[in-house]
Amino acid sequence: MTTDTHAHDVEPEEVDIDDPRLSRFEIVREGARRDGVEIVHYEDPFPVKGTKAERRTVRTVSLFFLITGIAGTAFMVIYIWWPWQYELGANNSKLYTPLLGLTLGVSLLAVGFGILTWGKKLMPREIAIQDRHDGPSARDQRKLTGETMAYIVDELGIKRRKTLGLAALAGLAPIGLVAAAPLIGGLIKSPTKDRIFFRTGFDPAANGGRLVRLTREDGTPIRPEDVSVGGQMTVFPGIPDGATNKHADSPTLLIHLREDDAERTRADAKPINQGAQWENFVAYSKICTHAGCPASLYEQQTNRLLCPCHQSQFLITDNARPIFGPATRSLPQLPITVDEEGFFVATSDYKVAVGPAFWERP
Amino acid sequence: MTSDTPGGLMARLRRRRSQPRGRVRRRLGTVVRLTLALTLAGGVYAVFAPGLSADDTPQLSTAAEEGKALFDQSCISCHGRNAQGVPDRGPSLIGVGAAAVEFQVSTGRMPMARQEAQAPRKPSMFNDDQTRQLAQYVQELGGGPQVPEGSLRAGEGDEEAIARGGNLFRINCSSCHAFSGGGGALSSGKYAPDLSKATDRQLYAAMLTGPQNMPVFGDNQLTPDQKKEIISYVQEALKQDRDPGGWGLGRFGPVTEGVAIFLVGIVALVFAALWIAGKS
Amino acid sequence: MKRRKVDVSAVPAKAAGGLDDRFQAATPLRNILNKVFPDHWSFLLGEIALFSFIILLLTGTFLTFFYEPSLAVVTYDGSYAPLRGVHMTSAYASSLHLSFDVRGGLIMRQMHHWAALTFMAAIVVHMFRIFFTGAFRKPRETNWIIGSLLFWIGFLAGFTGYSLPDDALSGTGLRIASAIMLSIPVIGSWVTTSLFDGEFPGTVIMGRFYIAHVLLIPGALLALISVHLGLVFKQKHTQWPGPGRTEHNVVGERFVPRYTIKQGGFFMIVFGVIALMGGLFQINPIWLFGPYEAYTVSAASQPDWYVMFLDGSTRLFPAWEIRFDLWGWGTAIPSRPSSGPRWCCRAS
Repeated sequence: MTTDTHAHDVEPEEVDIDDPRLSRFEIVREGARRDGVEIVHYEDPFPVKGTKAERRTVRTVSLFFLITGIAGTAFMVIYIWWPWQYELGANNSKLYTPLLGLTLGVSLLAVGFGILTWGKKLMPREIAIQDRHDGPSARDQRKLTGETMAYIVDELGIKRRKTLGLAALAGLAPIGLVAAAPLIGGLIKSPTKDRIFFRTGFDPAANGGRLVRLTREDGTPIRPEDVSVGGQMTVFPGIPDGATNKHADSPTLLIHLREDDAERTRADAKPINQGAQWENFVAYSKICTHAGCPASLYEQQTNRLLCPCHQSQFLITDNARPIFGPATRSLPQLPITVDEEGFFVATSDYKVAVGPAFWERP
Repeated sequence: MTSDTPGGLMARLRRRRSQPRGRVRRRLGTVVRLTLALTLAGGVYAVFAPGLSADDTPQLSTAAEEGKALFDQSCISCHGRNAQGVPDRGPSLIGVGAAAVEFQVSTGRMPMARQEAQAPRKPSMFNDDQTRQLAQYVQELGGGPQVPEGSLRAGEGDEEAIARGGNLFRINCSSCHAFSGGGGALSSGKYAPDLSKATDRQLYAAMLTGPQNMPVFGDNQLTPDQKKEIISYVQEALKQDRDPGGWGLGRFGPVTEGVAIFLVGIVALVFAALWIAGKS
Repeated sequence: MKRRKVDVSAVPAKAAGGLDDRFQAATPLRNILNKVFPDHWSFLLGEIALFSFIILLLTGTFLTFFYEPSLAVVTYDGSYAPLRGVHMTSAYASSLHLSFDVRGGLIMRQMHHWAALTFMAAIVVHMFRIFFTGAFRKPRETNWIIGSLLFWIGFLAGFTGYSLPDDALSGTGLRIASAIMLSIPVIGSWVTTSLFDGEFPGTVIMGRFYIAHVLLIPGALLALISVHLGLVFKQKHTQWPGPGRTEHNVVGERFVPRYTIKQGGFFMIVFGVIALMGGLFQINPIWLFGPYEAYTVSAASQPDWYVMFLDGSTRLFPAWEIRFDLWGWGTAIPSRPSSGPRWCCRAS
């Protein structure tokens, strides 16, 4: 093996590749040498042909390919004949995907191991060394290329004709903008139009001026007796599509507090939340003020509302103030009352924007 | 109070002796001590109580009488005489209904072993008959919600009902119990439990009564039929339906998937790489 | 007439001769065949990423035949009984369809997802190797930067792919992403409304994510991966110290056949492992999550592992809201005190 010397500092004499005495390997080695590659070690693992060890290795490789064939066939059989359509319960259709994965995986692994064993065990081992040319190109090459590039600038004559350069710049910049304009112009959408971030489905203005009822997900309105003490219900604006993602900022949590908790909540209400509570019922936005997940894990004894995404906790009895986690703002309270027919309605939209904060939000 | 003494003694005993012992022995010891203490409490009660309670106890059915006997043995130290509650120890059970008792006792949550963030599920101390008797006693004391008799499923194999139940589950239950029913963390050491062991009656009772920090889902909010649909979904879709995509990795979502890709995928491939590049 | 006898054994040589007549390929081709690659297991970590990318292209193409990037609402009536009759978007319904009503669709979806996790995991492990062996230093800085870019573009590919099924878990992730965009100073709300064409979730986001996921991002990945490999080819691998190894040579095996055999075999092994995982380990069971509705969520909602550092830091970040208020500029509501430049962080 060569040591830490430049193997090709001493240029070996060229071999005459037409010399009939050369073996094919010697020609290959000469070709490699001309590519800067020295094959320094080359060893056939089975110098004596037909030994037991060689036959065993050949058998191993063949076995791998055979396994591939068997597993591949099994895959096809399963793919075609196994009951594959979903059926509820514990049944054979549930084995379809695992069996496909098993047969496909085994057949692919067997191909892989077959090829690798072939390459590793049956083929001659070699160590080859190739020159590495880190660092710059040769000095004269650099100079020639550099001068060529500099001359291109000279030929254009931009240095001499400054006006032309400026004119080209002034002319081409707008072309660049023209290329970007359709993309940006087409995509851009104003967030201030219709104050979409500040309104929800509970805005009476969008309901022909009538107060919006609180409804269940199927649109039925809610009476006070529908929510037990210590219970909570996800409610939606009683407008068309109120419970769909068209009003993704509107889901609200209606909570029936215990008597003493309700009194405390009423007493502690912030000015903006004054009068929002109806008897022992409060309604808070379900959209977390941190990142917009539904904060809906209500603990009925501690009156905490948790958000499952980033673990913010809000204290319902104190204006839904954040008491733990990354949220900074209280959940907005929806002012509610009961209309003459005995159903819950929102007396107005939320007083502040619901959901996570943004730049324009006060 | 007569029942205070054994409790205090027990606590002191536990403090002094619990450190060096093994878990099994500690548990056995707790059971033995508890039994002793309860027997003592029951005995003391038997001596003093009849005269005191004779005038204000309403007429009880036979089952309730049996339940009362069990109550006076196992529950009275925390929930007080006639289930009136003991301040800072156990709430009054007047009006909680048979459903609450059935849930708490059949899941082994009551009697509690110790005061902690939340009573965990454990093997029940009582068999079904005893549980019903206890429930009957509390029911006759102050009324309250009851789990209906008969099947609590929306009809075996009714796939439409299961689908409706799934919808209700995702709106009302999955936020705490997770999509898979595997449960999840709440604040300060509390948690929504895994539903895998819950029976039909326990699920129904939990919805009806809102045990511990679970919100109450009264019959006006989720009708009995809707409760049955949810139960059908939990039992027949979530629990009995096998995963079609292979092993579910505990259905914990991307966390276990991330663990699997490193522990199984990358580890297997690194070993393959080691073999490929190794000297043969 | 007597036919001219074709000497079969001479055909390859003749064909090769014909090619060289036209392309003068002999020298460059031999150059490539003889190129030496160093042999060490840690050089195969990057290959895992490359091979998973190929598997991603294969399985992903299959999925595009069935997926419908639309937020139009339909009523599900496919095979999966527990969701029958439920209103959902076409995106979610078609994801269920390809999982349950396309033969072998589920394993393709699962292999695609596992391959995506493998792709990102292999990139990270590969980057550790580069970092701790100092292989990012001159002259390889460019390739290190391209590699880092590949991680981030892979991250985007993963996130858009995670969002496409429009199940409740991915919808929750998308909503968090929209909240993160909203928090960008000055332009946050504009960026968000422009991306979603209005308020979250709008009606166009799946189409936009889809074209990004199947064309723009894979295109960028393909281009950068080509440059990445080209540069490795040109600049050659680093190598571990060993007998005969210097700063000026590469000790190993020639490209063809030994190195290519190892690569081919290893590709099959990566493919096989991903097939096994895709069949035996369930991933992202979207049918359990249900369709995305703004009001449904699951306890412990998590992103895929390579997004968890963001999820974790979002949890750990203190409850501060940092505001830069420049004389009320940008203020839409008068109730906010806006008397001058103000910098405040407020913890409730």
